[in-house]
Amino acid sequence: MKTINLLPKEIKVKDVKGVIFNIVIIIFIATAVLMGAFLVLLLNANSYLEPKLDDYNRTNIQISNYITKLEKYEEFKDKVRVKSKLVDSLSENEIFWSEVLYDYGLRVPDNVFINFIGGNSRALYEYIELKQEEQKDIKKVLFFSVGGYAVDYNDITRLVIEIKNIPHTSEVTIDNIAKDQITESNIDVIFFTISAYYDIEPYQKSAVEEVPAQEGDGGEDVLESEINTLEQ
Amino acid sequence: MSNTIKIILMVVFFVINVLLIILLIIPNLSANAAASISIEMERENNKANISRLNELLLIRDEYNALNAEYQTYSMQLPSENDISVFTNEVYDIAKYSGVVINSINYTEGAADEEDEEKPETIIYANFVLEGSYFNIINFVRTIEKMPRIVVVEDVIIQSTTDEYERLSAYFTAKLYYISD
Repeated sequence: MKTINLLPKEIKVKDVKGVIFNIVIIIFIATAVLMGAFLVLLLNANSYLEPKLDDYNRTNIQISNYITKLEKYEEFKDKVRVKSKLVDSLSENEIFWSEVLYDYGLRVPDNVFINFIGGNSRALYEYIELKQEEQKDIKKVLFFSVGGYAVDYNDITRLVIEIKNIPHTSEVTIDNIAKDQITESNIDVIFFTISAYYDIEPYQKSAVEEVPAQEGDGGEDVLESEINTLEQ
Repeated sequence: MSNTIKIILMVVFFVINVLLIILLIIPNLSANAAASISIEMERENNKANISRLNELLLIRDEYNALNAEYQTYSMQLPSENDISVFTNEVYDIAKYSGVVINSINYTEGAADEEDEEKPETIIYANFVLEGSYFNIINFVRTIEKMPRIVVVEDVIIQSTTDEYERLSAYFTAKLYYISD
């Protein structure tokens, strides 16, 4: 037997709002869960990073302390360097008078008798310290003077030539020459005074040395001054 | 579940999320970033420190050589004027060179303003002595070659009227010392 439903058909109404709300709730829950997980990771990372940072800090402090102690060695090295430079500068360009006198003693001709020899290197050291412009004003620096007597003029000339061959000497001049007689032995002699001058050329400062090194555009000026020096 | 309850749940979860972000995630994230930056900086410092340390360790290894060098320089340029030591040495040299020292006159001090700026102090020693030419030269040579820096500046040698072989010599030498 067939049953006949005479009731009106049920119309299913879709609850769109409810579905949207459900989706949003699910998204929110998922976000909360993900953020929770992220938070756990962050906390883990923090707990790993902080001890590592402390380790680095501690190590660096220890190394810094050690460095501070070791810096004494570096200070000492600087001290040695400064002293070394000073020692070098003090003994630089030194004229060894023993060598000059020894050389001179060997070169004096037989018939020449020397009464005195007087020399100084202070004037040369002062000349070396001068600036280039100041050096230009000085033409000669006295090395030493000798005075004595000879039997013949030729001996004096020979002495002049020999003195010229002494290292550091550039010019030798006869300051005074006079005939005389040694009364005790009745011998005619010639008294003389000779001056020798330093060869100052090796100590002359060039323009290039005086120009301070400059960065950038300064290079052209240095180049020009070098060219000028070469032309001179 | 009614929509009202769903709305309440949405609000609750939204608030939970916002609170999580504001109260926990942002502070932790910034702390994490700060720690990472600090670690990076410390690592850089560490590298620099280690390279500096190695550099200094090398210098420490050179210490003995440096010290020996320093001792040599200290002999050349002492830290005190040491005139008494120098005088003793000079008299010994004179004895072995065969010259007679008549006098030694010491003057200490900077000569001019420029010298005052220099770290070293100068002592001028004026010698008056007698001897034969080559003995005087020997004396001067030994003085010049002393471990201490001695720069002979002025020399005068002249014959005396009494004896030709016996000469008088006057010379000025410069000595230096530096206060450490």
